[in-house]
Amino acid sequence: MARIGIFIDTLKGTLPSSFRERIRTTLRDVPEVVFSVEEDEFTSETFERMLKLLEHEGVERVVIVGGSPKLYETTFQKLGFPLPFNPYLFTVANIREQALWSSIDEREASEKAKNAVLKAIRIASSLRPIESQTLPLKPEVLILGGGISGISIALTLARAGIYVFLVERERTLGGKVTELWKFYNQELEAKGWLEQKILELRQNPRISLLAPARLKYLRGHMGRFQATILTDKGEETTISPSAIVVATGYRVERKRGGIYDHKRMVTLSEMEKLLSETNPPFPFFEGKRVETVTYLLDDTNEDIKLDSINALKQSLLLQGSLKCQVAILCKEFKVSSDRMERLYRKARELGVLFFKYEEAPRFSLVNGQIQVEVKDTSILRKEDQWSVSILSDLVVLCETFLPHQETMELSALLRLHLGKRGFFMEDNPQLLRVRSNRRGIFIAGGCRFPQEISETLFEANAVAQEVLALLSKGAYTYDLSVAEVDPKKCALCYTCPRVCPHSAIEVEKYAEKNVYLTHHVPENTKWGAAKVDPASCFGCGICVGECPARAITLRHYPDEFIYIQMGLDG
Amino acid sequence: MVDFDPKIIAFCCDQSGYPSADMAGSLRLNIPKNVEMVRVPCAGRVEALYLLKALEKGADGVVLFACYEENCQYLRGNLRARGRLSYIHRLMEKIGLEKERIEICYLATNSGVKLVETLQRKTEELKRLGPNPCSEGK
Repeated sequence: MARIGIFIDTLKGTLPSSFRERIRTTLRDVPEVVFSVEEDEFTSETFERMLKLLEHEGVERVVIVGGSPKLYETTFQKLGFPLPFNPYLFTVANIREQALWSSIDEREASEKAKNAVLKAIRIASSLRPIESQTLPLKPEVLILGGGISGISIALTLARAGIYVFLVERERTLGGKVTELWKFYNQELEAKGWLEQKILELRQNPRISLLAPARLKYLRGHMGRFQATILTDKGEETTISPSAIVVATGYRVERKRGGIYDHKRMVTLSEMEKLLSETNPPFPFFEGKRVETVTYLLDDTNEDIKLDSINALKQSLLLQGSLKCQVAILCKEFKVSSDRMERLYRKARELGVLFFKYEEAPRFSLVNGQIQVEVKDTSILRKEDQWSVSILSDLVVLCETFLPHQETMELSALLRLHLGKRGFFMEDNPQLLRVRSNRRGIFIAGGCRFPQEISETLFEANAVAQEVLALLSKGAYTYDLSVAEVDPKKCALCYTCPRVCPHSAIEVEKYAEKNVYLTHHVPENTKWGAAKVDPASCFGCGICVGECPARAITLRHYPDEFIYIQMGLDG
Repeated sequence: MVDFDPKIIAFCCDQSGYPSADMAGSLRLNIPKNVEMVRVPCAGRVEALYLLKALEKGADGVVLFACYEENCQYLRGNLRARGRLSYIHRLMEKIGLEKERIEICYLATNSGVKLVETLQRKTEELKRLGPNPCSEGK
């Protein structure tokens, strides 16, 4: 019989003494209970007292009777686990929130509390210790994609002493930044800045550049990845990085058909190129001076602010030193970036016209120029809204941002999830933006969401921090509170590898026995069975619930606990 | 109609259902006493077998408290739970059991009120449906 110690947390007196007394009366009849002690709150002094008592009584299982388990879990995380034995040998009976506070009268409350305490005691007697393991991590990282995020992550990591393999599919590094001429928020030519970074990258002895190359296979899990890289010459190299960063970027596509094919309809990146080749005082397009430019925003990418930023940057230049008249048609102009508000005000002062449209503007050709007709809805009163017609030399369109062609293939290779648009999906959009669904694989830059460079650089820093935090200790320690497959029961139905949201399950040949096998087999034969990688498992139990052969168990939350809580045991 | 106290088993996801129940307590809302709260790490952990066993062993109804779609900490646990539930509903239809006895309810961390309302509504609904006919010993 298990020996259980009970600590009743009075929660600074919020549990009334009569209520506590009734609980203690119940406990007297339970044979497993060795002692029950009351504590006012859990502090480091309490822990010392608890420790002495537990050692003196030789008790190894603890039930805390009090508030929500979440409260104790966070306290223990903050103060460190106080008990001299395995941290999985304690359980909590929640008698405040789910009994005392959620009942009509005290009689009902004590009924509920009694029930909760007895269940907690039964759970405590079937608790098993869970050991932890350590996975050594080599300081080696594979970065897929040599765009600006890949380059800056590689540089940050290399500076911190980590060896980086940078794989780029193109011959040139830099990705989309090579098409950029100037930054919107600093007086700097993008080309020189990028070249400086690439030079630094090539000179760094810790960075090995593989370009043009691509990832062919990936096996294994965090700390033990086996990546096969195929170069364009047909050579294969296998490397074993501890972590992987995916920064493969995005692609753009311009609208085609009808008037959109007209040469005076240019895209934002074509305009960027035109501006970089322009000599003041005037811009020229095919030998003729450009006097009016109209930007059409928000017709394809409504929630991406990159277009607004680039359009504003270009229009400031056109309207200011290049003596053009610029009009910007948008649904909503996005100024939620660093210094954008100020630049927007400056643009209005310079005379850039902003129109807000709801219906798509109409384009027509008039004497070789493009006439844009748009109904301006920036005035709220419907009667005062008026149609505007702008004759412009150039109409600048924005390109649609799409995931790169290889994203789909790569997501199958890396077993990562894709979001609704086909970009890589983050683990949690608010908290874990740079983590993917797999432990040890991070996503950065435009392959998750197209962003402005300064924001991409922030994100690159965040990824580098995450990777450093993971690798700097040289090892990853984790509790074995994970799912575990009983290999001899596995029927190889491949359900669990499919349902695992974190791609932590793979089929390997390691089982000694297989219960589905009836005929005689030679000894020492190894059978295929699903295997959970404990370092990559998050312990959610989805595979446990789905396994048709019931071959998987969740070590820290077996069936037993659920049956006890359901009131169905025994 | 016999007046009886229907027994409900509520599976609470550790991310939404359980904190919601705590929240309900903090708001001093009454969680019906005929409800057994079962804390599970994720709604995806709840096996189809548990739901059926609950009915077999005497529960009159089961509620599965999961996170809202695309809100699961484990990305797809709530979707798996929903899938399993529709499988169970098909089974229940085959054996002639009212499928309203088992339902899924989506919560956020702070949906204490919704949790209590769901449980109270469920109790009323089960009172109307009557005791579970397939529980053992009946």
